[in-house]
Amino acid sequence: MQAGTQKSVLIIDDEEDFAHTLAERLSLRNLAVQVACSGAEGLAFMEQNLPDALLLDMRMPAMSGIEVLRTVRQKYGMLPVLIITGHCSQEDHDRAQELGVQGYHSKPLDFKELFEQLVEVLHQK
Amino acid sequence: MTDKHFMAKNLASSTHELQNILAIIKESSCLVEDVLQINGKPRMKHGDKLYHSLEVIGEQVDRAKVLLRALNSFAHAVSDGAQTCDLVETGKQTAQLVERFVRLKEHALQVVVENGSAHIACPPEEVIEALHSLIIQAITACTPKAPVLLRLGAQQNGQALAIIEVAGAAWNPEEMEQLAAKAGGSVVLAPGVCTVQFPCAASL
Repeated sequence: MQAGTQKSVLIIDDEEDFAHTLAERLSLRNLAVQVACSGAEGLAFMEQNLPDALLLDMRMPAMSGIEVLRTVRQKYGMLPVLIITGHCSQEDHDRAQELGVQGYHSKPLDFKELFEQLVEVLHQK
Repeated sequence: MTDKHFMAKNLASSTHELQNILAIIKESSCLVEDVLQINGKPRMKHGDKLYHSLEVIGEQVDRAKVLLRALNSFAHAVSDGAQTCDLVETGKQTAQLVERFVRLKEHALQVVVENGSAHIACPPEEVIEALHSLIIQAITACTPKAPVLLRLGAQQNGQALAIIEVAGAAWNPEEMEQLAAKAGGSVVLAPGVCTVQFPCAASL
């Protein structure tokens, strides 16, 4: 990302080490990145600071990625959301598609692919 | 819960966890690489070994990722009780799962997709078991080091085809017919070519 156009990204993932390392890598590329380790924490954070894009895990305890996504759509409309997940069932995939996610990325990530898509959705916003 | 479902559930959960672990290893090693690059490849003793090691970590994570994804999909298909599957996807997963056995016999396995997808009316785990066993059977007696080809997805007369080609393969027709039948398929054998036919889901 170019200097002076810093965009913000929120990562919601219960795998703390993964989320923080990914955040570090994105920060090195001039993005302002925050991490939330649960759906509830992520939604609470968004009440105060709405990010430009969301990176969202699907399988999390207590509140699933789909539940978070549904709330995000109700409250914040078409905020760009990229799914980052180890496994996405066909049912989850279909529901996420209906809720208008911009992309899916499976773990371990192809970082280049994720970053390129993230930049694209941030520019479109 | 049957034994099969119990095992599948645990395999699905464990492979999911392993994918998370691999993801952390990969992002951590890539972060080190990022920092080194930002610092303009600092001159350090044996620095080349550090870069090489990071490259190897990335390659091995990607190698494990392929295998874990195949195992994870396989486990989820069994635990979800799927009764149909895409022969192309399931065939690719089989190839990933059988690849090590093929390599240990000094053969190389190549997958050729003839058609983007072919939905068949057979549970995926049974298709995997049949194709896996047929490939093992094919390399048990064949030309040493002959390449193994698995062609997937061609369709004819309401049947989707998985074709195994190995030069010099000595087929055991009765055993192969039994293996295919377990997954609801049938085989047509010719020298070096075993065509497995599965009923397409829509044609039932």
